[in-house]
Amino acid sequence: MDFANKFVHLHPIFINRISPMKKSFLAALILAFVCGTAFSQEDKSSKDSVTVQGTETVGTAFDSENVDDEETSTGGFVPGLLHSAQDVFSNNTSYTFSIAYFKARGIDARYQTVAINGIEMENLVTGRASYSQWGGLNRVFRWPENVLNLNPTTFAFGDLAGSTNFTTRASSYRKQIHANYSLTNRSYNNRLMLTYATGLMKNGWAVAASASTRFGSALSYVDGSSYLGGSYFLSVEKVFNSEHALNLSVWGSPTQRSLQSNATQEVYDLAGSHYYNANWGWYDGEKRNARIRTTFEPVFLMTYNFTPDNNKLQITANIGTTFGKQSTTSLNWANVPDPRPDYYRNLPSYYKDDPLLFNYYTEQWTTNENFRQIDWMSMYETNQLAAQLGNQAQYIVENRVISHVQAMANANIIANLTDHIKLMGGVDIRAFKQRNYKTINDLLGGSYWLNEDKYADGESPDNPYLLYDDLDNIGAHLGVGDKFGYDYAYHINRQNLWATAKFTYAHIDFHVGVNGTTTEMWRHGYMRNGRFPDNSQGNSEKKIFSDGGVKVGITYKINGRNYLVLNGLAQTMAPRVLDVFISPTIRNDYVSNLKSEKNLMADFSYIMRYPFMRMRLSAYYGMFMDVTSLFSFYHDDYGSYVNYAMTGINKRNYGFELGVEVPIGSMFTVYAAGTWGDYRYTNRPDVTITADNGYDILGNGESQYTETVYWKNFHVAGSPQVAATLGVKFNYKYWFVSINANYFDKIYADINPERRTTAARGTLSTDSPIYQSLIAQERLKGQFTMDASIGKSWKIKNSTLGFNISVTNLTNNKNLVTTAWEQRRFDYKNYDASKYPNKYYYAFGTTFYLGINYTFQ
Amino acid sequence: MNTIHKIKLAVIAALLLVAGVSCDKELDVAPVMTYDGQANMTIAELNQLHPVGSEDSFDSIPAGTVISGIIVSSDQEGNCYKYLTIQDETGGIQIKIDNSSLYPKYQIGQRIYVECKDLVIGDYRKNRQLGFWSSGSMAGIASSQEPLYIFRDGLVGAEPAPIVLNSKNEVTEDMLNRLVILKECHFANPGETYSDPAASTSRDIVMSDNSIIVLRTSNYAKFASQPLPNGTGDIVGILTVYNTTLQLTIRDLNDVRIANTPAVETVELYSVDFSNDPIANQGWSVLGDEGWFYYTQGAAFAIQNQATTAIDSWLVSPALSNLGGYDNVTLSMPNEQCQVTNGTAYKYYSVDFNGTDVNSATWTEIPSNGILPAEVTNNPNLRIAFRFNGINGDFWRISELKITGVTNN
Repeated sequence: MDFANKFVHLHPIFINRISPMKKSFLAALILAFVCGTAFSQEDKSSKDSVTVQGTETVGTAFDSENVDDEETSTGGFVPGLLHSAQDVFSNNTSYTFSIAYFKARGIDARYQTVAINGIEMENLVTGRASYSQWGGLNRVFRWPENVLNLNPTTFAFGDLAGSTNFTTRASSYRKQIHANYSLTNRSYNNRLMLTYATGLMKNGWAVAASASTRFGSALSYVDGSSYLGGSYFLSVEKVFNSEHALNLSVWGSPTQRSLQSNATQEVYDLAGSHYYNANWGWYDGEKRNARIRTTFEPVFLMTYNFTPDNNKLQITANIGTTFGKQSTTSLNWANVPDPRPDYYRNLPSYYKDDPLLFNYYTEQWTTNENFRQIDWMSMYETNQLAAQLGNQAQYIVENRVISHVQAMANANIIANLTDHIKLMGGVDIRAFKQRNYKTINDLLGGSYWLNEDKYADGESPDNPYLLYDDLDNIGAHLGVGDKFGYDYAYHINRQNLWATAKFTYAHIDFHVGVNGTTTEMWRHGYMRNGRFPDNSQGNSEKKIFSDGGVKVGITYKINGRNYLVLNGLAQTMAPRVLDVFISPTIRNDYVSNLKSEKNLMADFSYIMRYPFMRMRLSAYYGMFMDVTSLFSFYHDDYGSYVNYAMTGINKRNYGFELGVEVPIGSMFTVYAAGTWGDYRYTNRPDVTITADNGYDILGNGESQYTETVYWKNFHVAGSPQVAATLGVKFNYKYWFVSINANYFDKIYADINPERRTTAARGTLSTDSPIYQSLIAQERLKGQFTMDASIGKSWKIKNSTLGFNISVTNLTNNKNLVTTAWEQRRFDYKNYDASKYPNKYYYAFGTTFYLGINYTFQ
Repeated sequence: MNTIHKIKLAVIAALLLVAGVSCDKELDVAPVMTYDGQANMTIAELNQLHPVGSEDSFDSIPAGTVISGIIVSSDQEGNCYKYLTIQDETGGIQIKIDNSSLYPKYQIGQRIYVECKDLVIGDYRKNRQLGFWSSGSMAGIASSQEPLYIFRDGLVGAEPAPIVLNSKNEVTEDMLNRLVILKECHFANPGETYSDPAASTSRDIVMSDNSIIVLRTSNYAKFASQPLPNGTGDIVGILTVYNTTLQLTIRDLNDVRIANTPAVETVELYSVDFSNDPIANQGWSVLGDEGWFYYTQGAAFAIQNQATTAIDSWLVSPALSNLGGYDNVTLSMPNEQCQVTNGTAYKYYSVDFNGTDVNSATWTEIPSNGILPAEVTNNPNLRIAFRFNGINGDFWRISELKITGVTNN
């Protein structure tokens, strides 16, 4: 009771900010916690229910080292928690389900805490940790400490999707020389990785270093792709004495790779492949890709560890910096048709009323490779002609640059107060700046480029400056390397304080944690835009969001074999800076009605651990409220590029998870894991639409238009909501074999909110076929896949030699849709939902991974 | 252990219960568009703002004017192009819009409100229109500007009842740009297409009192090449005027409610080519006594008997197997010269002639009107025969022969 009061005092702000309904939910959680204390008894048998510390086992095929670690080209998808070796659901699904872009409980990666040496690695703009920062360094970024879901965390407050902490202290690596070569047909084909670690030497020093390269794409599914990556890692630690140690880690992973396009089903069918890539075309005898991403974001991290000899305390402090650039090239054009081969006007369907043209386009698409790929030569010719006439280049390759710099510091403490009480807490302070701009990458034979916006209304007699993206350089002839279009920065300063208390008793364990965060954000414009000359340059107003969270949980240990676990988390979270500005490329104006997002989540698990069977059965229920989202698209009714700012989105996820493992004899284990979830929108959010052409197209004398999106009960997309696997593992004398079959279902297309508005419905009757075609949410067909792997290692004196082969999607199923979405553009003229049809990404067919490891110790 | 077992069961049961409750949620539905306001002028009042003159002209509309009406036009079939016609109880008006695909948004029966703002009311050849005045004529509202002027209100309703017209003379000015039904009328020239391929075309509709209203159809209408139906019935459409000519515009072919009774068509089913010896080449045969022959100079069948003893000569046709399915199958032999006054001449048909023995077949005389009975025209073994029992200078000459039938619909 005492503690509950204390909790209320700690975070009055948080309590006052949430609605009565949510208060009652919180009250229930607190009640559960209070009841828990009353039942507590004295007993020495304690257990960390699901927290798992990685331990080295030999010959595990699904080891993070042996996994293709690349982010997929859609971005945003980060593999689930690896290595929760003790959890029968997570352990058997996190890698297996990744082929379908499965997200556990439908929760996005931005709700997961990823830390290194206890300091968070989240990118404050995207809200997600960027795993590519340590891409290729699998040997040293191995066996993180994973905390699943809502369980208590020792290095952070934690988040809805759990927490992960990698350790890069040089002394944490065993003395070794390690070499690894991998061959695969995924994003890259080859990886060579060398690692050296001294272990803790007698002089108190420890050094660990790793270098790797990833290259080749000839074996990849996607045509016109390329990959080249290098990675380095160096960690040096000085252990001064048994209490003090200082470590410096530096790493980076410069990578250049091409991107795959997405397409409509019509395009995939015409091209005869679900991996058709519109991004490349023949140029000079080579497949030249217009979309190349170059990333280099190095990290420097200094870590201080203090562990007093009394074993009561453990303090970790970090100071670090990350910085670097990600640039992505893309075609741009002026006063000419869209040059992308799969632009909707280049497809047969656009000519469906004209059989002659329809047949012509169909024939060209199916038989002429040059027709369905980028025509570089004609762009060069057009530009050269324009150059001769003294005109602007009509096509260019632009470079969209995102560069960031971050300074961060934190300190975490773990205190064992008594045999029953453990207190953990921390403070984290950081400043993040991300600058976004475009430069000219290639003029493609043209002589110069003008800084004008092709979507701006150039005919407005009232304002001749609307066209110009950079009012201070009107008419400047831009060349390669020059900035154009937009140039602005996001600034974010964040401070965080958290504490968790963990209580351990005979039959009851419980924990309570609190969290407080302030986030300050603003935009700084470096270009004076013709459409918003007065509020595009300089600093915007600064917004400060104060947020809090509380986390409680109780474990009832019926006996050493059966456990009941109830966990809950309630928090508020500042909106992402990406979602708060109406039109961030050109304006300092904020979306109105900005609020912190609220999350409430609880799960209840029954865990069984018998020698003959291990099982976890869980139910979870989560609510996401006041979510903010911003995107832009071409609005046919307004004839303008518009910004679509949604606020107050509510979503609800609930479902069940079941994992079972049954050992058969000493060599075999049969396992099954599955989940059924239901993720839906639960309200009707508001949307504010602003035209980006600066012209008052809405004609109401205001620059924006507000409407309601009617999408209650539609499905939230982004992950299969049903996934299951059944498999068998074999483990004998360092041989490891596994085979499993998987099923994915309830895969939905992400819906376009605009199609669920009164504006889009017009006056259509709900039974009209047109209406039905507008609002029906596509559900993709459920799919089966199979995987198999085999591995073996040999110990030869002081060294270990091992290999493993894993084959994913053994049956070569090429119909598993990983991502599907309705295009934002909508045909207001004819209400024809098929004019801008859904787009898809498909999972690769059979892929393999072959790894050979040699370790000398 | 028993307790544990109970807990397990309870947990599993609870989870299953939640799962059972969860499925099948009703999907949200956005409300239909409505107009938040009222009309403050009738269409008749709006039309009165603009008296039509000898030249196309326009008049401005008072600020704040809102009219309302129900859409009766549709460009779905391509006959109405870049305009909406709306009507209320007092009158109708054409709204010009620079958009060639209006029907998905603006369906027949839809109530709309028009905020007239800077629109003007003018005319094109005396037909009133709402739009802009530009370089001496009426111009449409730009497609992107539609939402600023035109507001849909509620679900699509029924099409308004058309005004009943029996005569052109019943038309009054308030009926223009409204839906009318022309009762008991017919097309002056059925079978012609609705429109010529090259340009919009006028076709006369004859009212029951023989007054004429013109059907005006665009050559871009999807039904432009269809034939005008034959018969009498009703036609629905939008009544407009072109100077002094009353014109009707149909939206689609369902507007033309005339049960087509195509004119019976007479088809030539068989004829003899007398330029080319039919006896040698076209299956005709001479049986019985000699007599019938092909008279080359006269291009005819011919027979003559100067003798005082009669002959019995048969000219038999080939099997006429293609006469089935027609009504009034008629044998005609214009310009036939049959001077058989002393003997006898017969025109027969038979369905059981074996090709050689005329006497074993059953022959029936063809009636004087030449019509072959329906029960034999369907028989593929039908033949006709000309039997000559002439004497003392009788002769018979056939220089034309055809069999016609009438299509039976």
